[in-house]
Amino acid sequence: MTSATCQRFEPLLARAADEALEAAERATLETHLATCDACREALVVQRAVRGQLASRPAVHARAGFARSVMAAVEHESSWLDRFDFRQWTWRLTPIAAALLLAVWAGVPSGQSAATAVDTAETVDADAPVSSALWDESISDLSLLSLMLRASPDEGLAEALKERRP
Amino acid sequence: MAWSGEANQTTDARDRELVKRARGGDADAFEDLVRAYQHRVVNYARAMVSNEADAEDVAQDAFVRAYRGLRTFRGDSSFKTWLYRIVTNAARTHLGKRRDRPEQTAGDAATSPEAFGHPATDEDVEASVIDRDRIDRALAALPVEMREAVVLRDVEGLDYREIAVALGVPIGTVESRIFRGRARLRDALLAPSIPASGEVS
Repeated sequence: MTSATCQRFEPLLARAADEALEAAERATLETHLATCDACREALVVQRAVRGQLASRPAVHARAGFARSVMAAVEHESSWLDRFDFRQWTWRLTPIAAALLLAVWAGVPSGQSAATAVDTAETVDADAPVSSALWDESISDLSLLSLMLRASPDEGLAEALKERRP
Repeated sequence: MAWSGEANQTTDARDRELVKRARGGDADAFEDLVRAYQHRVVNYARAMVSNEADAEDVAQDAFVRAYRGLRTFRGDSSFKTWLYRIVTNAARTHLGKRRDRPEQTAGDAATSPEAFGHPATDEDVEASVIDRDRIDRALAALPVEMREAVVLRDVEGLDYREIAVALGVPIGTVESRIFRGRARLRDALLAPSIPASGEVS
């Protein structure tokens, strides 16, 4: 079984030992076996080894094995439930929404800045909120309130509305 | 352990129904699947890892993996074939871990005919157990890929298509592995002289 020709017959020899050949395959193999001692011997070995393996006494699961498996599965499923991402996603939704809101309120967007400018007509649109520190027309109370706000830009607009006369 | 085609169809229908229920959270349905396949799975695992305690660990691991993966079972193959693939992977994982430990592996002294021809005999042990141990030691000496193919075919009785699915390789590869695996088992399992009188049928 070393020649390339014989190697081509390996699949057929394996299945011949299982009695699993189609008629055409059987005819092809028979033609080859008629002239090849090595393949004839290989077929005998295939059948004999297959016979030995098929006679191997089976092992059975011990009594109580299925219960052990189910106990392991139940343990597994309790962990899976704990890490069930859908459940977690549902529970985290309010927190995620709150975070999103906080981020939206805390980061000035172009739109909110524009709104501030519209409201405080006299303020330069590009003026940073820190400019209020030097604006003496803004009262101390308004300045403190401005600094404590989550959205200082909007606060700036309001503070400017309340300018000292 | 070969199954007839009609029995296969009936079993497939039963398995699909049980899988459907188990996916829906019915633990009893999954237990029915475990009970239906526990002997096959333990037997296959035992032939792969050559040790009863390890075989049970592999079998249990495989069932837990199957439970975990039920949602991924699409039904392209039978549940049986899908389960054999999982057991194969669980056994590979186990054998991979065991590789670090010093014991019989492919190519060591266990391949000699003497190692299999004269197993350590305990008079109290049944002849069948001795015979199984002899065969399993011979199988342990095979490369894992050949062992899987030979065991699935000759011990578990799967057909070539099922083995190809279970191992994730083409049928031609399965045929080749089975042919070469059986050829390698010759010295371990057969008497020294085999008459060369092969006929196709």
